[in-house]
Amino acid sequence: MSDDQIQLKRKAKGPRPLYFNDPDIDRLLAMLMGLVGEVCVIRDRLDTLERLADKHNLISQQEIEDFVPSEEVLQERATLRDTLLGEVTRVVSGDIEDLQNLQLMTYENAIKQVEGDH
Amino acid sequence: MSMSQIEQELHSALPKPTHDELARQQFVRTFKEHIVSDIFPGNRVAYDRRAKPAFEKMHGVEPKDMRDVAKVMNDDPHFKMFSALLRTSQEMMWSSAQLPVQRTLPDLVKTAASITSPLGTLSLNPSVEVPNYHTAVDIHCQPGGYHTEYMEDDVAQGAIYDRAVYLYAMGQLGRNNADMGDSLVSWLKSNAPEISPLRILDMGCSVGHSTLPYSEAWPDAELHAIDVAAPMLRYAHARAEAKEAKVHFSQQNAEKTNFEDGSFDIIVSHILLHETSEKAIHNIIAECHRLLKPGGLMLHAETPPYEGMEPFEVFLFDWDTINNNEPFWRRSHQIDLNKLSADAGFNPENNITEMVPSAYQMAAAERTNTFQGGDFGGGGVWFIYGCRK
Repeated sequence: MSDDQIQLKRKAKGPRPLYFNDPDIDRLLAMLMGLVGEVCVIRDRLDTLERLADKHNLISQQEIEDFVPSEEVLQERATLRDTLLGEVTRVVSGDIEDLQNLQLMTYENAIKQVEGDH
Repeated sequence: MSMSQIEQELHSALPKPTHDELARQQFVRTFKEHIVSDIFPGNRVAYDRRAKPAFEKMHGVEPKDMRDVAKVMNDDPHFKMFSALLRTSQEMMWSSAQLPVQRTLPDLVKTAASITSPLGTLSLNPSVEVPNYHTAVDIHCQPGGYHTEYMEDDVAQGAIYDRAVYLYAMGQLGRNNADMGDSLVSWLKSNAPEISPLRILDMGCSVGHSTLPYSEAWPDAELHAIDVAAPMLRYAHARAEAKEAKVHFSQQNAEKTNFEDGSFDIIVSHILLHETSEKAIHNIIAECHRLLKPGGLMLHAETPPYEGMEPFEVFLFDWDTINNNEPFWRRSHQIDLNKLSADAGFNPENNITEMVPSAYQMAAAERTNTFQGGDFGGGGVWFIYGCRK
């Protein structure tokens, strides 16, 4: 986006209706659907690439369908997926890590400790 | 289930999206189709199996009107999710239509302003006030409404609207979003064949989706189209010229125009009335009466009145009032149309209120038979209200 591009109003005037008991869920749902939309944009782009590659005789669509990953490739893909899932679910495992940490002090105590450290 | 992906007809005024901008728009269309076909029907199940029995258990009687239905449905988990998804799809629709316009706006403005030897005309009048029913909230959630301008000779809101309506209707208004105009033309040709109009007026024309069919049907008639919003009209003019249609666009409020008494044979509007107000709707019908020649006809395309619908249908149909920035939707569907005509000087005995089949027959088999609930135009019919002077 260039700096001199005109910025359109992006929010319609009028309060946004809330549907769930916690307004954060309304926001999360909108973010989730935004993400699904972007995944579909990537999927469409990939589809374009495959079709162009096919058209120009680089890789045929059939070749993609017929591709059988070796065990080595399967392993690499599993690692990539696991990393991705770990990043997405970081907050969940972080909570458990905190529960397991017996030395963990409350944040208030951490403030008191550094402030009283003279 | 996905409907057939017939695309909008391109023209020079319409912004050209990039690969990913188009993919984003196509996603919204599929998202909407999915909501209508796969999620919307669950509301009926949730109501029959869960919400309605809960109401009956609590009150000992059936829900008698949409307020009763709302008492139980507004808290129903399926309805809440449906509403949140539909609202989100509406916001994503506008956003996806905005992005190419934001990226290319100066070029769009230049294209619209560089029409050579136009067939029709464009007269703007900056002293026309944008009425408060346009400015209270942004109608159907288009950020900036119909009227906001970002630069000189701006067409942004029109360009966004042209594309967004196509996505909104999921193509069910035809390649040119013209189904409402086509449907009224078809009605006029079979029900009022004696009228061969010299002058036709389209009120609240926005970008002229419904206007152009009148130019095709009666090429020799003088066709006028008015709106309060300048960016819509500039775009409408550019679009009409790109499609070689002769239309005279002018910036005027339908409540009070500068046309002479008795100067039109036919006056039409298409989903205008529900975007106005109690006072404005009366003014508009009175203005129609003033502008029509004796024997002339006014016709307004809308969605059907609530009267006679069962409470649950009304509740669903009323969704837009609360959820889609349509503050006059509910009231406009409850107005006594005989009284409205009579108050304006018409003889209510000449009132026309009927369902008109959609001219877009090609897609008829795909109609979801729902009104609103995310499928505007899905009913396959339009409601017309009109009167002969």
